[in-house]
Amino acid sequence: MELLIFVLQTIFTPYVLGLAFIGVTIGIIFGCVPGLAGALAIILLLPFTFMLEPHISIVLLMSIYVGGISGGFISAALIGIPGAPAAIATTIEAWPLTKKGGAVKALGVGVIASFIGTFFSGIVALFLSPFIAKYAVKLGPWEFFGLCLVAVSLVISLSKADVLKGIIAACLGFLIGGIGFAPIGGTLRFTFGITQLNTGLSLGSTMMGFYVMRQIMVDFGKGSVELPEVADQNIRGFGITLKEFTDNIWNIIRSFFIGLSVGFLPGMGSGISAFVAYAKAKDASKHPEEYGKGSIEGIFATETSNNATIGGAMVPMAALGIPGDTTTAILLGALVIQGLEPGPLLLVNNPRFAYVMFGSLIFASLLTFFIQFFGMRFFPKLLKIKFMYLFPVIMVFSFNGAYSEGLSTFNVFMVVVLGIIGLALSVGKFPITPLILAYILSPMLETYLRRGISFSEAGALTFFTRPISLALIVIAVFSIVRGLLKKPNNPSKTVT
Amino acid sequence: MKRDRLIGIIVTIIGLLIFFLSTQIQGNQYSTVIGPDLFPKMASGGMTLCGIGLILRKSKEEESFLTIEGWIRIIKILVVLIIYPFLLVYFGFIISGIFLVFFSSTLFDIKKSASILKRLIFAVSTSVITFAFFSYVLDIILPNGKVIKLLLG
Repeated sequence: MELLIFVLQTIFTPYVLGLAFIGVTIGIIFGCVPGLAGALAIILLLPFTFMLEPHISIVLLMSIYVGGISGGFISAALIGIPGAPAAIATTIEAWPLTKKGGAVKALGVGVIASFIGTFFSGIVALFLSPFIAKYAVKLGPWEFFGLCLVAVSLVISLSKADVLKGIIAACLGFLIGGIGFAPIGGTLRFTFGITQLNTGLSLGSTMMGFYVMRQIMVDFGKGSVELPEVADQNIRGFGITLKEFTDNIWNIIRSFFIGLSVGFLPGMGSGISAFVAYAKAKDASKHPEEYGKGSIEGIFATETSNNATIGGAMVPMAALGIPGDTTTAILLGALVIQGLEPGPLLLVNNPRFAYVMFGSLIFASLLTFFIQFFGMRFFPKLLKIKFMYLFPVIMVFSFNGAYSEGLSTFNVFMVVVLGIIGLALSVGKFPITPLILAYILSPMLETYLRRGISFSEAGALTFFTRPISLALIVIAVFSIVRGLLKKPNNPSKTVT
Repeated sequence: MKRDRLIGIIVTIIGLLIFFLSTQIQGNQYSTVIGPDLFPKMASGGMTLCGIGLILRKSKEEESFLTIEGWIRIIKILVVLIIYPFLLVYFGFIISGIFLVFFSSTLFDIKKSASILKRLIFAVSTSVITFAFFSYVLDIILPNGKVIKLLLG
């Protein structure tokens, strides 16, 4: 009770409330602009937090974090370009829905699902952190490998136009992700003497090349230079009916637990959880034929899940000192700079700080909800901007976003090169999403594979003798085989 | 030849080439029992097998991806995109940004609704505001350009 009062006293002061508001707003803006990201906003404001008390600085940082993850769906829904990796899966349904005139509905579902995911995962993190952390640490490289494999295979199985091409795209993603120093031992691979490739292709240039440049080229080539019409005159509520929400209760609950569980696992991330939840929602749906055409079930699944990962990722970060994703890794650094010791001792030595962290996560989700709810009246106005004005600006930000990752003009060249490769893949009707996910997971998958084989005397057999690992591999193989045996829905359709 | 078959051949060749390159990767003294070549071999092997699968499977003739006019539009924007990084390196962000925004907005303006002056003002203001935003708000200094640096000493 004393802790709860302290958390409330810390957050509910005009100064801290103002900081939280600024943090969420900055997070949403950075999250929704392709080329920027919530992590970048945290890095930028990090020096400012040194001047603050640790428990006040964490409120600001958590606000940016939550705003950044939630904001990613706005550009995914309105212009078909995910603002952050967490929103890639959301684009699959939100963008077609917007193109059908359902921009407000896509945004409304995103706002509700984001709130549910973050708010309840924060509550779970608050109460279950010490217990769950003990279990998560028992999983080994075999289980983590299995989980990564399931994520990629589920995304491949979603390549409804052509699973075979989905596998090829994923293999290409693994190879692109393998460029540079190998995860163990540091052997150089596929750099061809180009020193800038030693650390691999940056996430920024890969995302901007494969998503932004490719899509702009394809849209322009097809003459699609008009943004979708949106009726924003009489926006009331969230743009969806109560029935549409209640029909998705189980979908939301399932996606929430998927997101939460993935968040518990160190090194995973909201991008993975969104894909897993999306695949599960499609599997369980009574209307799987609506997927890919603007299904709100899909948006509920991805946005609930990727936001639930936030609370989940807080658990290993706070209780074990292990980051759940890139942004929590930066947050972890912020704690260390503040003189705190992340890990099991944080909850023992600094319980006030730990609970302010969880409390600010819950509060930031509420604040994000209100800001996005009122912002829904203004976000669709983005679509009123002419293509000829909007997309050059997005291109400039994308190039600059890639450049700012290491202040390297080489990244800018790579955006163009990868955009051209992306265009070639689109011509061949290869899905891009398995490639991106495989690229992101490639270092982790390889590390876990090699560790899994090295750590056990039984070698590779261990992957099949540990029950959770075996179950995950079976799920991965099953989803690929099932996808291969299914007849393609529409082979001529390009999927993302 | 059907398009998927041609794609299958290309994928198979690329897969085999990468597999060959993977065999050239040498592990170092810190390498574990399985080396850094295993993962690329698995991925390129998978790619090759799927490429063969594309060659062997039955596929229908598909409609072309783009019209000739569409390809011409893509080539035009590609030229702008390819020139941009070189301008960035030699002339810095402001000039390259003006170039990118001006020419891309000109190409995207299919209906020719905006005058040259309007597009130029848009390009200059976008480039300058973006430069100021990155420099002063984000504290990220965008490239000044080798030529500009030389000229300014």
